[in-house]
Amino acid sequence: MLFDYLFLMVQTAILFYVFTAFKLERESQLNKLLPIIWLGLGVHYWLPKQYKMPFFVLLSFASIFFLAGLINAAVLIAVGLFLILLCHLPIKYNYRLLLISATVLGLIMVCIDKVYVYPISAITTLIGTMFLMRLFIYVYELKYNNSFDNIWQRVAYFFLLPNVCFPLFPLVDFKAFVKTYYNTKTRELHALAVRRIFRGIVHLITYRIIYFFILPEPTEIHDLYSIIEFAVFSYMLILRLSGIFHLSLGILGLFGFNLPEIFNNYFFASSFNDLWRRVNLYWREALMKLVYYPLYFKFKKLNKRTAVAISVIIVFVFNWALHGYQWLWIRGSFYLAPNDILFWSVFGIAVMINSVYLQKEHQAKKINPDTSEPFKVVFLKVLKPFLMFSFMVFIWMMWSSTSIAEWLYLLSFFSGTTSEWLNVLLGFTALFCLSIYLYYSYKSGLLGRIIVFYKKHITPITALLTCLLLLVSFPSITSFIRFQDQPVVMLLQESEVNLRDKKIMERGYYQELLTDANNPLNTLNARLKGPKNWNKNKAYIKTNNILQKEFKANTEVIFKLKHLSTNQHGMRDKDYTLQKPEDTYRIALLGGSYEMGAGVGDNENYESVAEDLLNDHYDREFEILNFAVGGYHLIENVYNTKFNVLRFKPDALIYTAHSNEFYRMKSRLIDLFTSKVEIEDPFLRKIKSKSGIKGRMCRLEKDNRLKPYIKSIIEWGYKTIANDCKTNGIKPIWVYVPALGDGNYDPDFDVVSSIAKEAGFEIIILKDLFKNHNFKNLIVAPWDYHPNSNGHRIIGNKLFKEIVARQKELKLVAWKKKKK
Amino acid sequence: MEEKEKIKELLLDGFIEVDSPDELSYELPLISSGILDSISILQLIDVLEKNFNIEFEAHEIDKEKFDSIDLIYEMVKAKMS
Repeated sequence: MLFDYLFLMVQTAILFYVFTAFKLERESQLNKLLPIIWLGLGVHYWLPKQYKMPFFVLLSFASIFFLAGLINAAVLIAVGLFLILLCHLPIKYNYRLLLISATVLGLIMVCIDKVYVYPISAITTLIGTMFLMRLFIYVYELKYNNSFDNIWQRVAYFFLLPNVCFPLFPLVDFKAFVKTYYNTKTRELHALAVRRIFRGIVHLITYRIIYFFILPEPTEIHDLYSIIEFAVFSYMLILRLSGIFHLSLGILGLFGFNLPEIFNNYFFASSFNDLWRRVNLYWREALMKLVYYPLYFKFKKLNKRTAVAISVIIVFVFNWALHGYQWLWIRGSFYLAPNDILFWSVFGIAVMINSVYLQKEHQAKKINPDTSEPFKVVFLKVLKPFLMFSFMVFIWMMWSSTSIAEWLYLLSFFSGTTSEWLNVLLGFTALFCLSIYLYYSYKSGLLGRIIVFYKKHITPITALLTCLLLLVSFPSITSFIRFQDQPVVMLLQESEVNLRDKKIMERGYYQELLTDANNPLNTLNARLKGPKNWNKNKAYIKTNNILQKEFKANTEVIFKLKHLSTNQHGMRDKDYTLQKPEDTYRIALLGGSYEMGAGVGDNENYESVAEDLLNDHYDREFEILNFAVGGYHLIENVYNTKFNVLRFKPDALIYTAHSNEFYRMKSRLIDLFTSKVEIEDPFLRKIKSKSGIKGRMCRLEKDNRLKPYIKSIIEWGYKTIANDCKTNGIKPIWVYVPALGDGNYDPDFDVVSSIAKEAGFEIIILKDLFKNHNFKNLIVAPWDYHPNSNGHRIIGNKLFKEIVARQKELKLVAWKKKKK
Repeated sequence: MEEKEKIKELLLDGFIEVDSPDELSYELPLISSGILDSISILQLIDVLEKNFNIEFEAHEIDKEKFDSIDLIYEMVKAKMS
């Protein structure tokens, strides 16, 4: 027993280390919980059986306190226990149902911000993920199978240890939860749990490999090959969900919950029904139990096939609604998208037709099927999963597209050339032949023998593979595996989200970036939602020119919970005279929300910090005039320079650029070109006409149409500003301020900085600005990555130093330092 | 026991194919081994209802209860009594 214990502890320690080393699912904070789980397991293992379940519950509670904080955890546990209590009130079942429904409705109102209840509003996602789905099953079981008398089991069912980390969690069946608890030998149970954790980690690492190295961005799709690559690997992103679920079930398994498998080789599904049986089985089982069987029994007296057809369709309506319901608890709004409805309709109708067919053509199954199958049978057996996979790839692409228009646009890339199609068919045939070979090998060849051997020695092999995973997790050992001259493992272990994620998360930063992708897995980041109207700034007025908006003069508002006031010229700044005072060095600052100081109070933005430092440093006056407005980018600043800045006769002008300038430029142009604003500039008019952008096009098509022109627009913009400066004796300075959360990843930096240099800007690069700081201490809020006052102080300090370091270039040499 | 044999006959009549009836033992797992699926269960319920003059309700559909002839028999026996 001691050996088993040590074996288990070592294996879990290795797996948990690997999970942490690869920074998998970092947002979930499971990495912080793993030491607690591991220590808990160490104690739990030796406890007498009657204490195991209470210990598990207490460990779950402790985890919630640890991750959610004292008040949130206390409220969550109190609400949870209250809901469980409601289910057991000594009143009629229907009255209990009524009370529960009313409570759930109340919680929904809190969730969608219709009602604000201080401590509950913060934890609605957690309430949702722990209770609002499982409660259906629990209430059902109370009615029909109320033979469970262990109170700890009931509490444990809702407070499932790793659930606090994952808004999307397996929809565990209560009966299965109770019945499978220590229903087999502890050693076997733990071996299975370890295998599941291992499998979960492998899925999550595979997901990362696909996401980081294989999956092209939608804007990179340009031919038949890239669209196939995109479609296939988008579908494979479901590995993240299965990874999380396997991992969660594995962790539960460590504590005795021998729950059934949840995914069953779903990529090998041979029909719609088969797929429905293989993907997220818990979800399916819940729908069967709560919806399908009651409906079927209601309708079966009419006609069996009709009963099946009606029941399946209604199940899929419920399925769609429950996905929306789940979305609601996580995102705070009901998910209503045409492609989502279409996806479930297509899938539902396909399963319905398949079910009716099976009902009609049902064939007896052989207990011991012949091992010798005719080639025709093998051919069909292999072909069906191929066709099924291909079909799913198409409709999955629709589901994960931002709109049906985008999906149709993506489909247009399938019209490849004849030679492209021939190559694809050739590849498909080769893969198919390989699959046939593997099938035979699996049935009576080497592959079959390997699988038999694996199954026979599954525990030591898992241990061996776990050790291998540990070795792989050390970048020094695997440094020879490289991608773009960097060690793959090191890249995989970087927790930085990739460009697409970042764009999604930066919505508060740049007003009209991409809307959320429809991939339901994005809901994992749903805790990053801010209060309603977070981005609404009442200090703006609309304009009919290219700026589209500007600050009202002399106004005061509260924006992002901070005081924001503007001066007589409509700048978020202190008051300045139009005429530059004598002995004053005046700098005009151009920029967007960073420079304007979104999320910080007046005088807390980096412009104010740098200005104060310069005034402290020199014995003459410095003025930095803040012309920045949230959402302004290059185009606006070209206009701003011409029509606003020059009037103030500054000595220098700072144009600020951030990470991913190409992307930002493109987004801004799309907004501009599809707005009703009359574009007067001939260069921009020409680009608009050449790109052929129309408002009805999907975002992706607009992106692709503009892509070829972005560089030339940036060149034009930089040159225009620099020339305006030179003509008016102003020193143009280009300052690069990395956006928070981007790390050092900026694919556009080299190109953009060289364009600025060529245009004649003095270059100031504030890269690595936030390197030694904790990201979370620098942002305005978890849902808003603008710098807070700490962040602005860092930028301001650095900018000040860089300006002082360029005294000569900025003609400040004659200025004297203040005597201290 | 007569009912158990009857259930076996019903299963052999359209649900399960065997080379010899002995292959279908009373304990053989039917669902966990993939011999019966959810559609088969619903069809089997119809057959059982007709042949034993009993009625099932939706909440009684529990895959575990259909996992062997022994278990099906237990359920049918309970319904008949």
